[in-house]
Amino acid sequence: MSLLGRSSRRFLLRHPGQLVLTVLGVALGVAVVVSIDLAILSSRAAFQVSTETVAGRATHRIEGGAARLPDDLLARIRRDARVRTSAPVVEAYGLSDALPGRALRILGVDPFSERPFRPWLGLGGPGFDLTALITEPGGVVVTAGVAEEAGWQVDGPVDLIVEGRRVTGTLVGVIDTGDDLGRQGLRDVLIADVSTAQRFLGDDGLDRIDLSLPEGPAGEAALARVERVVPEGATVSTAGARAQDMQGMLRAFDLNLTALSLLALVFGMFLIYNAMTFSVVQRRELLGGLRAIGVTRREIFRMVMTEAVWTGAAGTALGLVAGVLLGQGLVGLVTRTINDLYFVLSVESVTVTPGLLLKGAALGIGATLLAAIPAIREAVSSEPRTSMVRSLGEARARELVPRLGWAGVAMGLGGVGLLAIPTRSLGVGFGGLAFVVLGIAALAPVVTVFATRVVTPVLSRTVGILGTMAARGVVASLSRTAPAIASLVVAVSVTVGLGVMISSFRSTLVSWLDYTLQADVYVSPPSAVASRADGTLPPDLVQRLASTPGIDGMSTYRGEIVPSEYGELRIVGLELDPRGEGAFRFRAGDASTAFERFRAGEALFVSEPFAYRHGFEPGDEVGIPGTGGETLPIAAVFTDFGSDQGVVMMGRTAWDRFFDDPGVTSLGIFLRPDASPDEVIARMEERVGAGQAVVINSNRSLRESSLVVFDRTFAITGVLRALAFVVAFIGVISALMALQLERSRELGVLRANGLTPGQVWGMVTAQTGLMGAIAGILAVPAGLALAAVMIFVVNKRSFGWTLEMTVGPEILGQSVALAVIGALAAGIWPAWRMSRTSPAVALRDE
Amino acid sequence: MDSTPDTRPDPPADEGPTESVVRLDGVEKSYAEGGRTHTVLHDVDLEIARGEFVVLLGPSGSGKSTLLNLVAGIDLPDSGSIRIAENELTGLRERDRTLFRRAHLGFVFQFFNLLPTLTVEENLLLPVELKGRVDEASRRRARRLLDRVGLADRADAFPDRLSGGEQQRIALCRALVHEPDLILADEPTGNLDPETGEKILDLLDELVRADGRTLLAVTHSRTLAARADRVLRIDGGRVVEADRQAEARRAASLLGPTGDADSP
Repeated sequence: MSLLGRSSRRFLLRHPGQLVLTVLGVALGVAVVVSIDLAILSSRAAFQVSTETVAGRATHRIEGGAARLPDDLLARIRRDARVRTSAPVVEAYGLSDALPGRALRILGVDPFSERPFRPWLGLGGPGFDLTALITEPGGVVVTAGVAEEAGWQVDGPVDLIVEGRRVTGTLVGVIDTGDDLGRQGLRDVLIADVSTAQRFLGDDGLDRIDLSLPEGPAGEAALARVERVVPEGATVSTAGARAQDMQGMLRAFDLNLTALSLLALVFGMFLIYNAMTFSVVQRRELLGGLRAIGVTRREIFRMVMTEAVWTGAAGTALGLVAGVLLGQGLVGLVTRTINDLYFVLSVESVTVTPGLLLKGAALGIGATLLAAIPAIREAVSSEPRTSMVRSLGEARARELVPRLGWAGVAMGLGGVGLLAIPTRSLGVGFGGLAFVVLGIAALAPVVTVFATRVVTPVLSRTVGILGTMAARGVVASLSRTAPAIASLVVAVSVTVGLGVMISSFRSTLVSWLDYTLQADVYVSPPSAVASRADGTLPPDLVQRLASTPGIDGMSTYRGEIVPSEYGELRIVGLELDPRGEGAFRFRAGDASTAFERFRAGEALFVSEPFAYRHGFEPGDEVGIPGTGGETLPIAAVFTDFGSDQGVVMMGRTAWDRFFDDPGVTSLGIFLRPDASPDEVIARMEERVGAGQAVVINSNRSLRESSLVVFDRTFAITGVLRALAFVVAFIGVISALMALQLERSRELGVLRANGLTPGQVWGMVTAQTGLMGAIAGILAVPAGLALAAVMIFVVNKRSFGWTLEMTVGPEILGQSVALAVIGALAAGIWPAWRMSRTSPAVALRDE
Repeated sequence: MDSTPDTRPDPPADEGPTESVVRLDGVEKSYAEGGRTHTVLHDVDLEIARGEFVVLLGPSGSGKSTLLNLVAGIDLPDSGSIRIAENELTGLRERDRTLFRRAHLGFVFQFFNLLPTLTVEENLLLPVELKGRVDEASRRRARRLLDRVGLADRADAFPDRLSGGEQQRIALCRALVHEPDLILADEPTGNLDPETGEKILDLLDELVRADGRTLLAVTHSRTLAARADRVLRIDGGRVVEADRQAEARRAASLLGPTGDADSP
């Protein structure tokens, strides 16, 4: 190793505090990004594995949409379309008291048709016979893991709730695929014969028919024959298309999480910037000396660059390990949100891929080098002088202030310009957002200079010379204080912005629930996905419940998720009680005629996310999935926060006209004015038979449980917000530490002149408090701008809905308090250290 | 300590033309200061012959350090020519001037500027490594120099374990170890107590003269001036020859054994 390299290595090792802060900055940033990536990747991988395991080797699938496929279609496919490799599938979700909080995917198959599709079905354990699924009434199989978890024994009963019906099957064996992938894919699958699954569902028909078609012209010809045979409304698609649709649902969700995680990396970069710059500033004189004795700029560049690479690499390695560990925890939060909002998913293990680690490593090293650029530039620009004083560097920093201010204004305007571009691109939205925030951060030096000018005379009068010194010290070391303040501004504004966004979302949701939940009592089968009802209420139960004394009327709701030309779509047939009309707030459409046309089955209501996503307006025709090309015009676009994929609603008349599906998914019941909801609910519960499982909620409890789901889905945002703040906080500590260490000589002089440790403490604290106050004041507009962009741009583009921004007066106080407390807390250690440093040590030449 | 150091003979006036290591012709240098131009050096001509020991005196702000920076190629003049060891510096790019410095110059700074993260021996070997490869001969040379300054036993110590005088002795060795054509010293005793400073000057004198090196020292110290072959002074931006013996006498008459008065 060269002497310069050796010197640089020893420098790093001799300043372990700085080294640890730099490494920690990289590590935390990388850990957050990797953990989020890991959580997203693992949930996607779990989804893919389970989809592929269940889909098996099928190349195509025929699906019925809202109406199910007739049982005899399979025979026609085999006979008329001459496709022998075809298998019927009935699919549903079942809940079990033995597996609380989990939904089982019930897969009804024909064991004799299965071998070409799902060969793992033949892999039963000892004594397992697939034909037992047929010969044993109600026979089911699960993996050994599920059986053990639920406590189910072979030949013993398996109690399930399927679409609100309590059913019992018999465990006829357990599957052991012999590999982890298979076990993961079948983790939540319960296999039964088609007829058993139909009995569980209480419904005939098939959900789909899997096909295995050859490649090339023979396959194309077979596909054409199949398309001639399938009934109107049914669709033939490739096996991967559905999975892609479902993955697509998560794109915006994933992107929002990734953006938040990148924020932590940005804060980490500030930490690196600070530590690296400080290490160069400390060596200014030395570097000047080296330049004088003939060390070239390139050699200095190589030296500092090598330091950056090594610290970046160490931080990245640590970050990768921490990220994988953190990811194990976050994957649970991500999966729960997916389960609450999108579809049933179970993740058994995290998937660490080389790609993920490489991406994390590239980000870590890249971010380090990017953050080290100012330090490297500073080092390379070291003039070969025999001595150089810091004030020259500070003078240069102060010269930059106006330029930075203008750059901030330009960046802010650029960000606004980007946001104003009429596009739906979320990337452009986040880009604009980043520019606005960075623009405000770039204004930090100007505001700092201005604020200290205002504050100095006040402090001078109230605190005296020490107050003046504290205030002037902020400007005197602007190259250290301004980045610290800017970082605090960004951290606090992100915290404030996210807080305002979440509280605005919540208050919008509360007011939406207020008018959407018009009925007094809601009835639905237990659902596998928290945010929506699915399954079917038996017609006789609906009748029994409807005749409960105290009930004055009801709306019925039938909802299905179907593949459509618009992707996965929730279509709803609604028989609307007039009292339920208040549940709709229209964003577009003629309210005076909308309900009439809707009830008559002449027009649709579509939700705002659906209209936004597909560019629909009232009057536009929407294709009704599963009807072979039927369309209906849109009467109105309504506000909805129930699904970001979108909902298409039609009157029950239209539903019954299009689909042979008389079922009802849920009920909204209106009570007589004198009836007590609790009493009516008690009476209704008595009317539910033993074989039924239904959830009966009062208006209030449904609202409460909806808000519980909401809070749960934002848990991960909260975690990321906290992590980002922690990284920024460490950054501020390091900046203040660097600032105070640089001033140690000055403080040593003061101590030598009789300043007590308490007064040093007071001065340092006054200074950090002032910095916190400046940051807090700047963070208010920054946080509000951030919130506005997240509410009106990011949320709209991500999910298609419009939220109302609500800002309480406490925001200003919170923001300033957060920044001041953050800065004061970050200043405690430096203040403590400086107050304890002996004047002799502080005054000693380095 | 010798307080009347006028022991050096004046250089022979009738000697034939000697090879010049430093040659400045018509050098001008000015700085902009708040919209006004302040001329620091005006039409400076200077020649220093190989083996000469030259001291440049002048009050603070007179342009001593500017001249030193120009000779070192750290800064460039507004006009004029600077030739050091047959190299015209004004025509060189920044990088080439840096490479020139590492090959031809040795530095002694007021604040030593040793690398705190390199041992004494490593600090000495740094200029050698920068110039080329560290071989056994250069190691021997470094050890010999350490021996001459009496610090052979501190080769493995880090600079922060040494006193100021010891650090400056190491800095002297570092300036000489790669056998430069010209040694530039900027207030070499400015950060030392008088006694230590005197010892350093003895060493500087001895080492530079023993190897026949050329030295240009910028200083306020008249004791250093008394040891010089030639004393120059900056006056109104111009370099003028000073009377070496007069400077030495003034040094002797001033307070303190070294006569380190700050006034010219």
